[in-house]
Amino acid sequence: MFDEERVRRDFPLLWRKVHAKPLVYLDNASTTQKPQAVIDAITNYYTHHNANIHRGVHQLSDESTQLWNQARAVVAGFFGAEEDELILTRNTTESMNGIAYGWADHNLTKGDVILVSYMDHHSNLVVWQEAAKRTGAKVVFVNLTAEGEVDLHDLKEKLAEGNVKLLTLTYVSNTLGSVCPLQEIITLVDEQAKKGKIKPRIVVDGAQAAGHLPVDFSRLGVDFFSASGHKMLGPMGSGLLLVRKEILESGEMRPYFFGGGMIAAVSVEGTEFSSSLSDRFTPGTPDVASAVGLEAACNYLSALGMEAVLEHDQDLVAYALEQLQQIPEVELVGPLSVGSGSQLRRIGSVAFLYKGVHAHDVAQVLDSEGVAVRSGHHCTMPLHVYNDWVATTRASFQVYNTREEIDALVSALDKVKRIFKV
Amino acid sequence: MQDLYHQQLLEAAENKKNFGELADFDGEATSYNASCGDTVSIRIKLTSNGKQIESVGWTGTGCIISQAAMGQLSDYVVGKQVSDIMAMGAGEILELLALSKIAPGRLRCLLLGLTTIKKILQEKNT
Repeated sequence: MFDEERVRRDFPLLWRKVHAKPLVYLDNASTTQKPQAVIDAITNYYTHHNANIHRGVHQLSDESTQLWNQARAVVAGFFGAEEDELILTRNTTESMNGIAYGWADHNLTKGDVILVSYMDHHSNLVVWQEAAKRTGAKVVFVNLTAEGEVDLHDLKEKLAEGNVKLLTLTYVSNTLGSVCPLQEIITLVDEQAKKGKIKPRIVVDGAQAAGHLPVDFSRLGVDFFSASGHKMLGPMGSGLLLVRKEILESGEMRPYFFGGGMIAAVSVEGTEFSSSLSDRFTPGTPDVASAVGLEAACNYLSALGMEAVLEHDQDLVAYALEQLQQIPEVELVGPLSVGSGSQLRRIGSVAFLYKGVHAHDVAQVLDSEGVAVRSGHHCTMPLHVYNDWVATTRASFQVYNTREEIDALVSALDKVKRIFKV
Repeated sequence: MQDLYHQQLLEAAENKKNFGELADFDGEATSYNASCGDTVSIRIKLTSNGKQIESVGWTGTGCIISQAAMGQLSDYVVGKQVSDIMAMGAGEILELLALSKIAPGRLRCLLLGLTTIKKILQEKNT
């Protein structure tokens, strides 16, 4: 494992105080802080290289184009994807909308089923509800187990109906922390396909997985993978969508944003789209600075090593589960163990109910102690309703968090007890 | 922190005034605070000329700010002119709760009750 203290020095924001207390930033599932290397990469781009890409023959445009291409290569490589499989977006939500408008609208029809689950983030749910309205397809929910994992038995039954055309999976739940057993589910899907049923396309929401565990898209066996750069140390406004090359090459997925930069030729009669897959889905002037910043984030994580990043995450999650379980007022949600190896059960965060106190009030008191957490629905309203939770408080981790910060969380929870006389 | 969660506020959230459903009412609405899970359902009975609030009943769950604000507000509005209530804002709710300020992130909690009451009154007027 790496040295957390050395890592912390790379993140200038972590040095500041909040309410005269050292900042304990545990809201990483919302967005992470940025290392100096990312901040410098963006500053360096605007200070020395800023120009529009692909459009000029001048030196700066060449440099900017090269930096854009290099950023794309590094980001794709980080996720084990080919450059042609990468569409840079602003965030996971935009990536999901891309799949909906670029793929679902052209491939779904009345009678088709989009299979989602109760743990899916609104970005991986609302888009499908809307796509269903446009196409006539139906959104069906897969149940969860008592510990907040996808109910594989229920999933199998729903796949066996034979009308599932799109299956969306949350790799790591932003509320439950539970890890989706992707390989097991892909095996189930393959078994159904062998029985002559339709093989659904598989979408993975990787927002809480990216930057927490190694991801190799080439071996994942899924069709679409979305993630947010800003949740993996990259800049705000950076996100990505990976699409298997054959889906792009065959035209099964079509452009969904139109304009300059994505065309081969435009005439009065119509337009031929660019044969370059990387251009075809990126109309208009792209956010080169964010791409360069995301590249720096990928390089930063690669230097730490994603196996080591995962090991550090698992240490913190296991420690947080252990500490929080000792507080009688705390009721944890999601799996109570982290698992191991191919049976990883929990990554990145711990969310809980605090007996007698609303999550917002818990978070407000924690903030007064410098501890930043998220409270509320975390964009998973159906999950909260499914479990009859009003709201939960979530502490989520990144490479710079320490066991001492979890201790700070636990002692700040003492103050919650004092103030609300629980 | 004690400045925000002072005794009076904690008590207001604990002993919610006018909590319960009105059987006889002229208008009703339910609102959610989607980001935090607060919810209030309010029923209002107006005076016969429709210009004043005669009684209010409400149910709901949520954070201390939203619940205390709704409880105090439900008491305050009884007997008040509809036009006066339509003119209320965050400042008046803070006063009802004896608070001097609120963080931007809690503003929606503070205003959940008031916006719901206004919604009911507006619908009655149109």
